[in-house]
Amino acid sequence: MPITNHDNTSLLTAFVDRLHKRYASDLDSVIHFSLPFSRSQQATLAVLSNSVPDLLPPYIDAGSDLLNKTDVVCLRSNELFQLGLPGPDLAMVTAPYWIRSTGKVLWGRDVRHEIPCDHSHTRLLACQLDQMQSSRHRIISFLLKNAHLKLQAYLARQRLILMVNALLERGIWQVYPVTIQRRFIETFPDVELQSNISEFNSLWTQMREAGPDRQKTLAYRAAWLFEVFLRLLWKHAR
Amino acid sequence: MITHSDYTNEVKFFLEDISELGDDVCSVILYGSLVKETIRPGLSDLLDAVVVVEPGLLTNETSYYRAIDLMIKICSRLSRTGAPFHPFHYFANDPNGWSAVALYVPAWTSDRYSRIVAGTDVRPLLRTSDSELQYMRGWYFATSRWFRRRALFLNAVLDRQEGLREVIPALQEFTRNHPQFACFACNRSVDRAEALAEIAALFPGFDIDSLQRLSETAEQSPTDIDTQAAQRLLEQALQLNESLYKSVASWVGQNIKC
Repeated sequence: MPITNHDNTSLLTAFVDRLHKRYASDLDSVIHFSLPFSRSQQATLAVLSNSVPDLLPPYIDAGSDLLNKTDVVCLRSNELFQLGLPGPDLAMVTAPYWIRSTGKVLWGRDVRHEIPCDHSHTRLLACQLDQMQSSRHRIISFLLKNAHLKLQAYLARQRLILMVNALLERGIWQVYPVTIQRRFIETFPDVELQSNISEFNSLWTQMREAGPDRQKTLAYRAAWLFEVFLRLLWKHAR
Repeated sequence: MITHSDYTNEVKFFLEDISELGDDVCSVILYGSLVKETIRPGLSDLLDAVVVVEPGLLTNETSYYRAIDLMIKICSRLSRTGAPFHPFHYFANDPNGWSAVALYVPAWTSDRYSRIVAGTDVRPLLRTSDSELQYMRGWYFATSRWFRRRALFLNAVLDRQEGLREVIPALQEFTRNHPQFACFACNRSVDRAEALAEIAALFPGFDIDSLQRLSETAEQSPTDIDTQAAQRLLEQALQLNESLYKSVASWVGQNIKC
């Protein structure tokens, strides 16, 4: 998968130049990498020396043109550990692996192997399930507002987060938005999970074409399928 | 005009409504400003509650829809009061207890910050999968990044009404959540009410007074502030976010094996 296009290359070069001008020897490294689940599907990591007092200027240096085309993450050298932490950020949870495999050093040191890349002892899925259970009251907020399509989109994203974490817990990180469901089903060959995913997918089309009453019924069904999905996944959590 | 008694009355109405679920309700836990006695009428959330139900209610499709319908009915009434509110949390009490993200454990297990208003006391059965708070640490750093991005974006669109209207909610989210998340990142599982004091103790050099003042401003300001005020507040929040982030990152780097 290509990680840059020609437009980005010139924007990235200008960004690196501005960073170098501002920070000189305090600019430790700049790495550009694929990040399939982020909005722009790519990201740029700028690493500064530990003595830099403020991390805001690089985001200003990036400018809105670049920020619209790539996620920018700026850290000090001694803060790289945070990229290896679990969390609710769908895109970033697999970032260490993508940095290692697709990262292209645009400036300075190659810090890719300083980023922790081991989730073998982390209860990724169980923590995400706790988080989903603690926030499922949001489903009621959507239903209260009759925001049925928004609910469907919200649930789809929650399911994606769970799948990414469930796969990562099994050591599988190289998945893309278009391949994740297939990979998930291959990895968790559970008939109930499969039929749950398949029915949820079919609700997308049905909901878009339905009138208000039917849409409400389908939204309830989507919420129910999510509840079942959570329960089925607990069986696979550490 | 919303008064203090509206808050206590809502609890009574809520308990009446939720009793429609009968024996499926194991426990109703109240938390938040009503328990802490810090209600600010019209500003505080109307009902901070957790309903813990029998597992069967969420494993049977018909029962699930009945529960959802009831929750919507309750929330619909709450929304008509005009006070801020969020739907109550709900959990199934499985044979092994019930499980939530670590953030809620201090409030939902403490007599100081929560109380049982119906059913049995299931608070001792609450557990979290994030026993080492790794997920909470990741959450704090993600939240800090998200706020930085959001504040910089808002700063760039202050010439639009919709941009201006987003500033106060963004600041409220920042001042309400970040201090508590920062505490969790540093292995301090505290209720939101204790977060500022904990931050002051952890990081004596951090400008806690400014954060406190920003919090008061964010809670008391109308959402339609002028551009200059919005810009000033955003800049202040960005600096506080950076300063808190730097302290937390340094603390975690030195004290936790990530």
